Amino acid sequence: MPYAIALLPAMTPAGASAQELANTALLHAALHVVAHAEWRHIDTAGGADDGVDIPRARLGLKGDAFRYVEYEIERDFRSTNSPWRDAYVNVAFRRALELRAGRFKVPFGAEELISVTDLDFIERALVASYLAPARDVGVMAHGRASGRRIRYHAGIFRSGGDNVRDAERRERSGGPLLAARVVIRPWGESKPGGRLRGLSFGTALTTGRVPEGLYSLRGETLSDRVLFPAILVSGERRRIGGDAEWRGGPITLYGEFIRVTDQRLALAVDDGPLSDIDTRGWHFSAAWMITGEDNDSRIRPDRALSKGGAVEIAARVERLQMSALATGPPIDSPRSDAIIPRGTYAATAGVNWYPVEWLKIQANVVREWTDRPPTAVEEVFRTWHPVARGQVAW
Amino acid sequence: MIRLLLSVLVAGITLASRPVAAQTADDLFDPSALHDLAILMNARDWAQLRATFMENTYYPCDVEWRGVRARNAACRSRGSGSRNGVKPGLRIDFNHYVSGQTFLGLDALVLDNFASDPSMLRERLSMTLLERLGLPVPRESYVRVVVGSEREYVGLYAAVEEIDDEFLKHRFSAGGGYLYEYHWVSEYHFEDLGPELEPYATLFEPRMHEQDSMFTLFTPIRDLVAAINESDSRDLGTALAPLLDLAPFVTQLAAENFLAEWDGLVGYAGLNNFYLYRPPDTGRFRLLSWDKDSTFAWLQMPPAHNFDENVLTRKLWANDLLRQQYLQELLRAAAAARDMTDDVTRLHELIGEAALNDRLKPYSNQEFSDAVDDVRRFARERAAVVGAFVRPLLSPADIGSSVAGSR
Repeated sequence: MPYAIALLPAMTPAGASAQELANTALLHAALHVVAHAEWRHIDTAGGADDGVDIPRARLGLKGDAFRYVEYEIERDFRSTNSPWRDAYVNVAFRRALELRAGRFKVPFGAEELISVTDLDFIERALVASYLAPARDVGVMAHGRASGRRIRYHAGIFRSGGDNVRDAERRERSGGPLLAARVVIRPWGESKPGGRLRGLSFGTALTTGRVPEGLYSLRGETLSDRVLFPAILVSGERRRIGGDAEWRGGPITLYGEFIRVTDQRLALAVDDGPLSDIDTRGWHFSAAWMITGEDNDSRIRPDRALSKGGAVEIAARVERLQMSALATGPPIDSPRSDAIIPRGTYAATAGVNWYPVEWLKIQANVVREWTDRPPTAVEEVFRTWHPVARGQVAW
Repeated sequence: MIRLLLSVLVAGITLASRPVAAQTADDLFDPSALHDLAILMNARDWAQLRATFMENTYYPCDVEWRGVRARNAACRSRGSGSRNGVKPGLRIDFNHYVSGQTFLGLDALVLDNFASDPSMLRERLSMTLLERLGLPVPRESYVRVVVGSEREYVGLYAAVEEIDDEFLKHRFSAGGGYLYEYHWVSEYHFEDLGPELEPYATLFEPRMHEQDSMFTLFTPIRDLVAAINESDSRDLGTALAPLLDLAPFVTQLAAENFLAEWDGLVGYAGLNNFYLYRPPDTGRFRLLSWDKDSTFAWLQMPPAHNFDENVLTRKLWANDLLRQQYLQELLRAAAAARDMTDDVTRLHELIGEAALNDRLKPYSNQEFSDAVDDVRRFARERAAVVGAFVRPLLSPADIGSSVAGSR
């Protein structure tokens, strides 16, 4: 932790101009930096696991050219699995129609689509981390309509996204992933809407084929214990999600559910289909800027650092579970119709301190309740773990 | 008339609703029948099992026999020299995925692929003879095995009862005790392996009380081997009496050598194909025969072949009393085998068509027919060969009493 903190001053921007590499009428380019230093303490069956880590050190370039073309490229120097984060070009023909191509987030999962720098909690909600596809290479149309009341995304992607198991990512024989998302703000930005102007509803779906293999979705607890075993799947993977959000000045209320079904075609002992694997979850969170700033995606402290900056408190409850849509008894066999259901509940409470716009200090405490599997012999079912993070981002 | 109709109706309903007699393991191992067994296994798993037949990986399967279906069983390739990727030997474990699950009371079922037995008769004929001599042997029957949703016929197998705690309960009054499967690692003939227990743990895999300490599990085996090596041949019976049940051992040895077993107690490469059992009541070890598909190897094989190589049989042969007992047991085996030629004919009629239709067997139909002829000739002539060996070594009185006793 001390050496991580020592790194932060060296990474702070000297001034706004230092971020801009180019700023002309035809070309704009700005440097983008994200660095996280984390400390966490996790109770384990054998004792406790303390650790300091720098999970993210990202450097990117972002800007636009010729008015209509936007671009972004970002690399994470701490990631070995997917070092290239975003690498895309976006062409804005008009507000209602933009085209994006390259590597970027699949439009599914409201929380997954929020930048990691703007989250109210240190960890993403479990459903976002494991049930949403995350990034992949693809092409997407998106835009806004009806006075910003409707926002849509529809795209086709090379495979199943970064969040699937590594083995499935390497396989790449599952075919393309289709994804679409619509967000509606019924009151748009009209003044008559009053406090309801901050209300929005979203829904999204994806469909794609998963090759035969132990490619059921990953799932871990917030304390990094494996929750879902690898289960044989084959066929279509469908996701459906819904979310609702209300932003009213310093307060944000936010909830989301995601359900994923994986087919298991021709996987039974008689070569018939097994019941689909049903993976689902939800989360609900509330956040309050107690220093009064608007709770937008990027917090700008109203008060100077000498007066304490901005402070936010937040709380979240969530659920992640996996089962099979079968009626028989669960058997711990790779070709069993029913599987042993697994799941976890988690509650997180946190405080976020924004001394300045580019610096964020977060502290969370997490309580988890893991469902006790019927075959478990020895397992940690209830854990507390505190987490702290320092974030530099501009 | 109405009463008559009602009576017929009631009788019909009664007959129709009569419960089907419950099937038992005895029915499955009914040796007079040719059974049909279906293994429902995913096509990919079956292909993988065959491709990796040297591995012991279990695959999920359902097993169906006479309308009785065992679900969530597990199936793997089995065997040592008989391992085969085309027609794999199989072990079906009914409680691999579901703890405590049994099928007809069986925890597991072995399907012998006859890979080393082109006649497909040796195993059954051998076990039949051992049983007639009063030795505990696993129950066996012939099964036509089909696999997968297409129910592809994969060949004729022997369904063999596994030697486990259930087997022991039915064969030995006490039940329980310690059971070990002997694993051939290299040529071994009961030589003293020293004071350490690890060498014995390598050879003898515990099949019961697996969690017991090394000391509890292997000290009795080490002590048995030490006694075999340290005792004088003249005192062999006395020295081994508290440790080894000698009488059934002598019978088993005689039966195996009557059958010209090439890979058994005195096989071409040392000890092989047996279990070691220590009952809780006597504490005296028993050797239990297993996998007799290398019998009928050599019609003229002397019934004391390889005795010099094995410490126990060498001393047994040098002991006058035990040698006489062994020779008498040879004659008793010869007498018990007098119906073997008829057995060959009967079994050939039972399995002939299934064997000829078995396209995955690792030998041709001609080789099958030739092997059956060889077994038939062995069954017809072996008693004379053994008799010619034994008679010069036994006194006439001994011969007379032995033959009379066997009738």
